[in-house]
Amino acid sequence: MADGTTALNGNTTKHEELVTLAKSFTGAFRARAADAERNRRLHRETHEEMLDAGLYRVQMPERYGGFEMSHRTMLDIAVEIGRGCGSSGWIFSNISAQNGIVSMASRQAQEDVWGKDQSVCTASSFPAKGGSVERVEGGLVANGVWSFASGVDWADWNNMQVFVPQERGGVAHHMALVPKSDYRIIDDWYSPGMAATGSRSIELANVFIPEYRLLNTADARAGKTIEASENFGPIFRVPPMCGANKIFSGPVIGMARGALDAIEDDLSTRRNAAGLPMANQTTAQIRVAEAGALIEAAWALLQRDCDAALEIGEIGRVTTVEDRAFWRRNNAYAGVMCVKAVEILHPLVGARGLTSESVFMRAYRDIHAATMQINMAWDRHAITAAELQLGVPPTDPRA
Amino acid sequence: MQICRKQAKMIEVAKEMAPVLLGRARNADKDRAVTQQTIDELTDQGFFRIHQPERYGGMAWDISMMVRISAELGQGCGLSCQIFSDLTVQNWILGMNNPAAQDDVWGDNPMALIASSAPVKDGYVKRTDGGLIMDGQWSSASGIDFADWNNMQVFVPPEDGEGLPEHRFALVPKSDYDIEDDSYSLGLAGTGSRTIQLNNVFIPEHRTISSTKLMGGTSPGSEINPGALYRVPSPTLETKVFSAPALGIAKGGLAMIENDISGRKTVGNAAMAELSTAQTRVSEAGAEIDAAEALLLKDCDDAMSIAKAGDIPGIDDRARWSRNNAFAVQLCVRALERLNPLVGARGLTPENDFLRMLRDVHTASLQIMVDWDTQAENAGRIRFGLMPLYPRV
Repeated sequence: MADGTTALNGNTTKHEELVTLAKSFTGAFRARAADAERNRRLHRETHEEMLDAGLYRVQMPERYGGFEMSHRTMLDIAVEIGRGCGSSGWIFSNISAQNGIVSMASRQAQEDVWGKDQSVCTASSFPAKGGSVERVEGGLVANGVWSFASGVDWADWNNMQVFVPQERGGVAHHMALVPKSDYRIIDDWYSPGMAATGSRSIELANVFIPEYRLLNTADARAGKTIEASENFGPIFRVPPMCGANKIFSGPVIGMARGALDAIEDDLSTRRNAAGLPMANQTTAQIRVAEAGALIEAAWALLQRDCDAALEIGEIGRVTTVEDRAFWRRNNAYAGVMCVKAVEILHPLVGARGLTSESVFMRAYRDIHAATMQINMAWDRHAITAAELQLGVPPTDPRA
Repeated sequence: MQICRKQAKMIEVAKEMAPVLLGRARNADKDRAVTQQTIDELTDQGFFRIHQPERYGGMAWDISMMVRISAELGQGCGLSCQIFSDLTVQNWILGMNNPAAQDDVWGDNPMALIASSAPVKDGYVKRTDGGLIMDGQWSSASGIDFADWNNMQVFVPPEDGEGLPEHRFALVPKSDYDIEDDSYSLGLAGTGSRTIQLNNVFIPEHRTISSTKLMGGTSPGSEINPGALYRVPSPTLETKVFSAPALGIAKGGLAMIENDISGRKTVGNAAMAELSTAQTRVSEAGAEIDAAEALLLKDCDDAMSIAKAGDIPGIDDRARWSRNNAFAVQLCVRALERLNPLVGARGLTPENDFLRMLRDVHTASLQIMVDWDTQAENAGRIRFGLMPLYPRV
């Protein structure tokens, strides 16, 4: 059964080392967060520090200098980074997870990305504004705009989500790798939360993508892409669209912890209008306790699911639709718990905290933005899980 | 914690027992007692020995095993599960007690079981030469019907009459007390409040232990029982005896609702299972229960790894674990509250298993160790560096 030791691939030392490194950045990233938010992008040094520390390599194949660590390690790092700066946590986990997903593509695609330079980063994007692909001989042609490319400022490649029309009708979901020379960045990220992720759109005009740079996610889920990827480690057997959704929940837990840190710091010295220490108020104590318990429960829930996923990867069995649905449900629920936690803390900010510099309010904005990601959408994932639980065919095609 | 094959097997046995216990649960609820047969079966499967020291034939397994087994047994019968967890955890606490006390209980009968009770009514204790004198009534002795001993909580007045009383456990053989059948609780009927009457009973010093000696690190019993289990702060972690059954009960309640609505139709002949309101209730309850379980197991593992590393947890950790423990119970209560509307008026019968589980989980949540207000306030105070209001943190 799952626990820390199995989860870490037996590699507890490496896990500790990476998490400790992540913790060493928390303070510095927090100090840069207000500027980064104003600039709508991270500082270059934030990205370079994470890159140089090797944090992005957490899920890369050993062949390319990676560590092949569990989703649990990625999650725990994202929590520590996100605690200082939610956007930094988001960029860390997006780039790291893409390294894991690129590792599921063909060996030739991996060579294109890392053959010459193992520090190359990949972002991802989604055709929310009408980007489309069509089948041509030997691959696809992509046209239009793909959005939400978190990490695009630091990436040499984009692993775009594409929906490939099928001969018999319908579409098949793929990841499609394109080099940055093939797209133009559109500066359209003006989000009220997680502004510093710089998750801008990219535009492609008649770009050819060869077959070997495509990853059919249904095939990956069924374990059919392992041979071609030549990556046989257990983490590469965890389906990309359910293991990797921790990309989004990890930073969310970090943001909630950062919000709790800010409130605890503030309240430990603050006095109310009557001159009484805020920390002595039972209502404040209860709010801090409930937020803390919610965040810790959310984190424990995700850690447990990471462990369970890795265990399945180690046995080498293919995940069932129920496995995936419950992981997704829990992933979204961890987001619900973290949102509740910051809502519970929110009244403690007081009117004096309503400033654009407030660390708490930034975390609060960030967490509400982060939980808009479809993988964090409680309504969607609650319904799918319940359908399976109650024996009703799932209505979500991605289940 | 990584589960070994033997542990996995025992969890499997618990899983298989759950439907059997469920079949007996209505009677147990009505009779306010589980049957001797149930206790015999639990005994034969070795459930009570999971935390007993190896030198007496026990397994000395990690605390999380009690949680994992309760999570199964509780799905069948909360009452049986509560008795399992209460009697089992006392074997752990005895393993930390003075070696002479361990021999008194297990020397001749290593299968001897121990219940525990608290002086909720009028139980008085005073110091005397070589031990304590106990007089009056103690309550809340779950499993007392099947116990050979009672490890009673006592508050010993300070020697010089100044300051706070000292919290101790005092082991008393069953020949020294009478049981009064006065337990009429609304839920978990029969576990809670049978009263124990003692009349000027002498307890030798070696059968008493101050809870300050059980706060983590070396305990009197850890000399002879080397496992990390006997170096875990039991006053903090033993509180899993209340949260673990709540977890099992909540899982059982969810399973009931799932079974019920899978085939049920509304008056408008729509499949209940296709109503998104029902679906979100089921999903949210499921996620709450999963989160409660993950949180409880994580804290067990955290406590065990600190003990295994030879460290002693501080008050920050202990207060946080107590808070999490109470919060896990809150999650279980909320989960069943969330499912309750799905029962419908047609479910309002005395036989309804879900409604028994709802009563049971509410009852479990009233134990002071898992009382959210108490534990949350304490944890909040400790986060801010204030003195705890609750002495047993």
